Amino acid sequence: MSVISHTAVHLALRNRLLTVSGLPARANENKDYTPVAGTAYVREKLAPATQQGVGISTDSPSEYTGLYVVTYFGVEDTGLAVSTSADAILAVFTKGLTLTATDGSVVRVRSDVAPWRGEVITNDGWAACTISIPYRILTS
Amino acid sequence: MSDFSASIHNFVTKVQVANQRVFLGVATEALRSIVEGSELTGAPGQPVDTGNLRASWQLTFPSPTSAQISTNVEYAPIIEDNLRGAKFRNHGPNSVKLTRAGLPRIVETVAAREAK
Repeated sequence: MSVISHTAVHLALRNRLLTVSGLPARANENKDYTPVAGTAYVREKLAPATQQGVGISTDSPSEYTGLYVVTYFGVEDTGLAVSTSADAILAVFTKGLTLTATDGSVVRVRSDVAPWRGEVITNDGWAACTISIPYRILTS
Repeated sequence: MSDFSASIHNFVTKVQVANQRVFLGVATEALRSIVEGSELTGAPGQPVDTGNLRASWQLTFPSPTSAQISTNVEYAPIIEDNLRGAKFRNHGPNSVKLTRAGLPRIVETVAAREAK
């Protein structure tokens, strides 16, 4: 298998996100979602980045990399709640974690550049924090 | 100085020069990745509306061994994380994040280029 299904990869990462306890409403990629003022929600997106051959033959394995980007939108002026929720999401994507996608791809959360979260940014009544999960897939 | 000492001295100088070239090359590639986008990292580059954000990114060297890529545009984090759910007409969000994740590949590529 030298070609992967990014849809399958996305679903594997999304399913992992869904294991977070107390996850609020979810805005899925390319799906209309109208935020409700005062109600927290998360937005998720797959950002496939690179594909690189790891051998000299045309049928050599490929290495795919990308980012799974989750943004937690909490309510502005609610203190550390947003930060705590972002930490809970980050905690389920430990470095080295492997997830098997429905197409058989093994999605590995990178260890060389481990998942991280940014600062909380307030904007338009929301307090948002983005969690970035770098992943790698090596085809067989 | 003996021939051996001279050879060692030359080798050390050569490594120091190569090291400096890799350092500068990595910093420059990282800036390109954030601003223009990069095939090495998959970063899309800064979306352009007025051009203000794109023009604001700067590469500076606080010390001989550190590089800093920064912008003083206040709304830069909102664009990076697309917090307003914008539909971009060109380029896109996440360039800083993708550059950070792709930094090992930038280093590998620049080092290989300098080794030739």
